[in-house]
Parts: sequence; structure tokens; C-alpha cells
Amino acid sequence: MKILIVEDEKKSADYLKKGLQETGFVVDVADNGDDGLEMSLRGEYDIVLLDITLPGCDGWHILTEIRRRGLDLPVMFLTARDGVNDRVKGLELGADDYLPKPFAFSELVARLRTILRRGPARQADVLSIGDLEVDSTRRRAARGGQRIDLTPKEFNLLLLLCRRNGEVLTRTYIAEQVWDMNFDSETNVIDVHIRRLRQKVDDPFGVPLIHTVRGVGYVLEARP
Amino acid sequence: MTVPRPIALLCRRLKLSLAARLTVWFAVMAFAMLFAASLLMYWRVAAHLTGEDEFVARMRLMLVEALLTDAVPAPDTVQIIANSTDRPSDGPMYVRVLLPGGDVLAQTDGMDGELPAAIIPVSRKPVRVLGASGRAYWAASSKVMGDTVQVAAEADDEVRLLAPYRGHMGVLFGLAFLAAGVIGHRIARHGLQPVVTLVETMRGIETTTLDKRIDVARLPIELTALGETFNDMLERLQRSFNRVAQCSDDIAHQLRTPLGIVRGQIEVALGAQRSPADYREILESSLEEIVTLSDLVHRMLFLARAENQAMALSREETDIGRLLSSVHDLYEPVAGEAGVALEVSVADPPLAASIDRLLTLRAIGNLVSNAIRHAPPGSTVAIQAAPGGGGDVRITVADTGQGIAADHLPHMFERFYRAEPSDSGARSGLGLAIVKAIAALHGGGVGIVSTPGQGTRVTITFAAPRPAG
Repeated sequence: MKILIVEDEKKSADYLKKGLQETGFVVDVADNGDDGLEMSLRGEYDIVLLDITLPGCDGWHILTEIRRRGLDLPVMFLTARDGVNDRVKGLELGADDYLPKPFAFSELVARLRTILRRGPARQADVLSIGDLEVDSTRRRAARGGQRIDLTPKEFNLLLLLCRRNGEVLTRTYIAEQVWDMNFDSETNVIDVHIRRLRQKVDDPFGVPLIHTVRGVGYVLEARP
Repeated sequence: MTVPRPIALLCRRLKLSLAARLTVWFAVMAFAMLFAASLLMYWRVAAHLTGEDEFVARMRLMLVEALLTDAVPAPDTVQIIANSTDRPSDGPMYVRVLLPGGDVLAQTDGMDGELPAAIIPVSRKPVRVLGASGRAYWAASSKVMGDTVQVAAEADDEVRLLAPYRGHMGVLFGLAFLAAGVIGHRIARHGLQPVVTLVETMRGIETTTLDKRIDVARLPIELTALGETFNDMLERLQRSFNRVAQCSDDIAHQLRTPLGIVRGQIEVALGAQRSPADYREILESSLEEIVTLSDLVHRMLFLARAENQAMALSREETDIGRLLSSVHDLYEPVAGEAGVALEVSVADPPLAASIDRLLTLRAIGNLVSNAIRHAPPGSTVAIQAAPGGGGDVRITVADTGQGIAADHLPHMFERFYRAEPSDSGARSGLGLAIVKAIAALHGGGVGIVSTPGQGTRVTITFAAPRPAG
């Protein structure tokens, strides 16, 4: 997957590039609008991350040009401009997502994956991570062949973590995906749900699969 | 009084000041009244003087008739009349006696040149005629024993008295007009002084002197309302100004703690060689603080936008029962850990409302997590929904915690307000402010009732969308 970042602020561009490369993407950076536009029209990128305020032409213009030429190139705005009108304008112009700064890097990765997965790629019905098996059609989970009894919400939470195996998910993202809620992160509600899930999925089996990433969120993965 | 349009228009066209307009009006009115009064008097005096001259001419005619009838010879009669001027300033008195054939029997010297016999009318009643020199005369004639007697008296009183009078009047009018202008200006200035004072007071008010007020008691009645309105406006300005100042103070305070931690621990970390595990620990701890910071920024922005009504609601018809049961699903484990029961009850029949689902969930979520935090173990937090009339929905969250003292209640929905100082910790103090903002976005409101020792009930009202207007 090849990503173009159009961002004039060097520190931001640097950490985004580094982080996304380490996540497994190929990343190019344009530090002004004119280069950004020229590069996005080359047709070699899978997604463009756009800042709005740029030297040269701005992010709105780049997006408009991309859409005017009928390119089916996903575009995501990353910007400190967080007015409702900006967000609405971005989505109306045809942006695929709009992430206001400051954002959690893992949030960005999660959203990137969501956009890039929108295509035909279909996930297997049965996911297995370590000795955990989750069957999404029959809504069953088992570890080491032993059935785990879960409430519907608990199952949804586990399914999300399994589908995003190895990805760190923020509490906000989890609440949005599982409870369809944009909640105030001041509360520890998600932590309590994870704790309950752990009591069923991890505690009886000795080897934990659900891990806390301090300051970010949670990840499900088999760690050696 | 209706204002004549031309003057009013002129005043507006010239953009005259209020004082100038009043001055113009005063001067014009004073001048008009003086002019009218003078004109009337002039007419009266002129009529009187004219009558006097005519009377003199008539009397002379009667005298001549009497003399001639008494058989005084004509030349002597003419002489007597010519010398009989009783007013030294009177002009010449002309007398002529004509024989029946038209020949002159006797006449005053120089009368021929000034008033030829032909221009004097045949009338006992004096008539005004013009002499060859251009002077005006009252002339009359009559028959005495076949002879014709002609008499003419100069109509000079008019010239002698009225002409200078007219001159004086002109000067007087000029002076009166000037005086009216000056006095009018003074009066206008004096009358408008309170306005000037008012403006000066207003001009003197700046952000640092918002506590200044206009002394309404000293204003004239017409300006009292203006002064009071202005004072009220100042009052509101001062209040919101103080709130903004207080708020930025609070924000700076809130930002200071996490910033201080991050800065300090990174500085210390860089001060010595450490193991990778130590670096990791420091980075994680810093990240936690920074997440706190960025959450705070997001919340502040949310509030700012919601309070400026710069946020579009995406209302959709929502089943309130299902909404509350998803709140229950999300918060039940938290309540369970705190040993608190979470109960949901929705009025029958099922309640639906057109609301912004996500924002409503956020508001209710804030209330529920607050309530759980304040509820003692073993107690119950109850969420209730009931129709509020007119399509409105009222959602109440009640706990049986220690309650809130009455003097805190009015402030509970203000940003950063905390009833208990100990409640600070990681909480931003924005939760209830956000609840209020969300209710306000829906055209609704919030209410709080609390009995110390018994618990607190918070109610949010979500107003049904009203037709535009």
C-alpha cells in the first residue's frame, strides 16, 4: 500500500512517515500544495493524507482537482481546522474521512485501514489468533477448543479486536465501532468492558491475548 | 407639531448636528414671530399716519372755503393758508383759486410747476397725487361761489416717519436673527448637555473599566431609559467578560498540570543514561498526559462551537427506549464494579423523538457516569424518560448519593465548576457544561434538584424540532 502525505509542517510529516512505514505502508511526503497535487495525479498512490492549509495550492484545491479528473483515489484530511463547516465542506468535496488534529496515531491507522478495506477484500469467517478462534457468522468464540460464553456486546468487542489483530485500537474507536457511540473519553467505561472480556478470554487460559497500550488503547495479539 | 418638509430635508441633507438643527429651528421661529408682530405694527402706524395727512388736506380745504365765503380776497386767502402751517416740519401747503373760466385767480408760489391745475381731481375727498418732483400729495377741490378751490398737502409723514422706521426695522431684524441664532445655540447646547455627558461616559468605558455605570438619577427623563439600557448592557458585558477571563484562567490552569508533568519528566529522562525500559515508561507516561491535554482541547472546542450554535444537529427519529438500553449496556459494567444498580425506565407507550443520537448519548452518558461516581455502593442510579409535552422528551438521571449543597446548584453547569474541590483529579470539570450545551443545541434545557443526604436528580429536556421561524 502506497500513501502520499501532503503536509508542510516537517515534524508532523516526519512522525507520520516513520509511523506509517513501521506499520507497513510505503510513504512519500510532499511539503507543499503544488507538489502534492502533481504527485497525487500520478496515479501511483492508494490513498492521500491532506492538510488543508498548505503553501502553494491548498488542500481543498487538491481534492477538487483529484475529483474533477475522476480519479478514484481515497483522500483523508488531517487538519487543525476543526470547524463543522470545514468538516462538511471536506466531505462534500468528496473526502473519505476527516481527522482533526491532535489525533491518536493509532486512530489514524485504524481509519486508514477502514478506508482501504472498503474494497472487495473480504475477511475470513473464522479468525484465529494463537489458540483463539472466533467464528463471525455463527457468533462463537473458543480458546484451545474450549467454548467461551460471551454476551452479544462482548462478542462484538472481541470480534473487532480480532479483525484488527495486532492493531492498537483507541477507546474512542472501540466505542464508535461496538456501541455506535461517540463518548466522552473521561469515563473508564471501555476499560471496564475490556476487563470483563479479559476475565472470560484471557484469565482462564493463562496466556493473555488482549494487551493494554498505555496512553493509546488496546490490542489483541499473540505475543511470544 | 409637524415640521415643514423643506427645512427638515435641508437639515438632513446637510447632516446638521442636533444642536445645529435646534438652533436653526429656534432662530427661524423667533425671526418669524418678530417679523409678523412688526409687520402688524407697521401696518397700523402707516394707516394712522396716512389718515393724519389726509385730515390736514381736508381741514385746509374747509378753511379756504370759509375764508372765501367770508369774502376774503383770494390772494390773501392763499397767503393766509401758506403761512398757517401748524407743524413746522410740514411740507409746503398749496392753495389755488380758479375762476369759472379756468384762469388762475391766485395760487401758492411754485404750485404751477409742481401741481398743474389739471392733475388735481374734482373731489372734496382728498386723493393721492404725484407732483412733478415726484413727491406725493393729498389733493382736494371744491366750488366756492363759482370759483374752484384746489388744495394740496404733502403726504410727507409717510416719507418722513415710515422710511426711517423701515430702516430701523431692517437693522432690528438682522440683530434679532443673530441674537435668536446665538441664544438658540446656547439653549440647544445646554439642553443637549446630558447627551454629551452620556457619550463621554460611554467613551470612557474600556475593558478595564467595565464596572463604570452611568448615573441615571442625573439624566433627564427622556434619557433615563437609554441610560438604564446601557447600564444593563454593561452589566451583561461585564458578566460575560468576567466569565471569559475566568474561563481562560481555568483553561491555562488545566493545561499547566499535564504540560508541567510532560516537560519535567522528559527533561529528567534526558538528564542521564537510562535503560530502554525506563525510556519506555517515561514515554508512556508522557503520552497519557498528552492524551489528557488533547481531550481537553477537543472538549473545549466542542463547547465553544456548541455554545456559538455553530454545530449542525443531525436529527433522526430515535426510539428513546432503545437509546437508553444502549446506555445501560455501555455503563452497566462500570456501575457493577462500583456496586451500584443501573435502572432504566421508559414511559409507556414507547417514546420516540427526533434528536441527534450521538450527541444525546454523549449527554446522557456524562450524566450517568457522574451519577455512578457519586452513588454509594448498594444504591441505585435511575434513568427515566418521559414525554415533556409538545413532542419534547425529558430524560432524568437520579442518584441516591450525598447530594449537592444548595449554593452550588446554580453553578453546576458552568465550565470547570466543582462542588467539591477534592473532585478535581483527572476530571476536566466540563462534563455538565457539555450536557447543557447539547440540550441547548436541541432547543432544550437542563435542570438539577438535589437534597443533601438524599441524592441528586438531573433532567435534560430535548425539544422537538420546531418549524423554522
